[in-house]
Amino acid sequence: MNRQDRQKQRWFRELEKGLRPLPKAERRAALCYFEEMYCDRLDAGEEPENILRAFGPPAQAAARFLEESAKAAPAAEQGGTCASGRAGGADGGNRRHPLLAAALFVLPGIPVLATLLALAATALALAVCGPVFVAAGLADFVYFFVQLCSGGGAACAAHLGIGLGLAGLGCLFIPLFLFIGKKLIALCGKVLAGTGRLLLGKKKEAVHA
Amino acid sequence: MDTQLKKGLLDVCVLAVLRGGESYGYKILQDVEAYIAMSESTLYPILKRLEAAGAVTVHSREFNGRLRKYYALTERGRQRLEEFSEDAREFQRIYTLIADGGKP
Repeated sequence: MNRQDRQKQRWFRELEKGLRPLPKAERRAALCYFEEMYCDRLDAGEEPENILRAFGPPAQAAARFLEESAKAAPAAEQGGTCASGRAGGADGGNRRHPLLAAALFVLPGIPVLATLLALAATALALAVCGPVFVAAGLADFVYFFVQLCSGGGAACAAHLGIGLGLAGLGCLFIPLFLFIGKKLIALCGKVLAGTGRLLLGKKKEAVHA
Repeated sequence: MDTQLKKGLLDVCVLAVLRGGESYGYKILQDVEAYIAMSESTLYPILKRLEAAGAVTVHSREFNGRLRKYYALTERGRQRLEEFSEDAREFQRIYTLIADGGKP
């Protein structure tokens, strides 16, 4: 890689940093636009260094870009002579077709909801599992204790041991199961938060579009 | 030139250079810059805004082994240019008043 390529890479990296406030898709589109401009200037015979000089410092180019985009967004939303157009952007489209927008949000919602329900069910099952283990062991102990008292043999005595063993094992499992259950609930929260961010991000992208 | 006035004019300038046929970012910038100063950072939001408003359409086509975006004027864009021409004629009448007090 030569010096000019490195300079170009550095310029675009700095530009990308400066464009971070934009949603990812919008940022990528902006970078593609500058890349296209760069290639067109190069094809027109301009020197790479002059092109970057014409673009200006990347931070300044990014700031100007963000400023212009911010000015453009409200104008596109106003619905004046041009914003009322048929290609009035995703946001305008959502406002005109709320049912369609709701249906589109339902599509990613179904697998997310299924995942959340599965995680929550597993967490609940784990939380219940430990105490049930203990209860079953104690029940086994009590049942065969009664059997032993009413004249049972060695098998009943063995079951007493098994019951106590189960109850003890259950006590050991409770903290582990509760820990795993807690992690699963936390995962549910993360899935929910991630979905929320995704939907909000899409909304922002629609506004910027 | 006043920033607000210039901002309003730039959209129309972009539409005007597209009246001669579809064009791409760099060419649009060059054509407009011959009359009014504009940077890459300014052009992109304008193109996005015009596209969102249905005044221009955009499609990508291969050029020199890479994709280049081409912008074309739509009927709505033409309509906007006509509206601007009407506004400009009205402004011209008002300017006569401003310049010489409306004397013929």
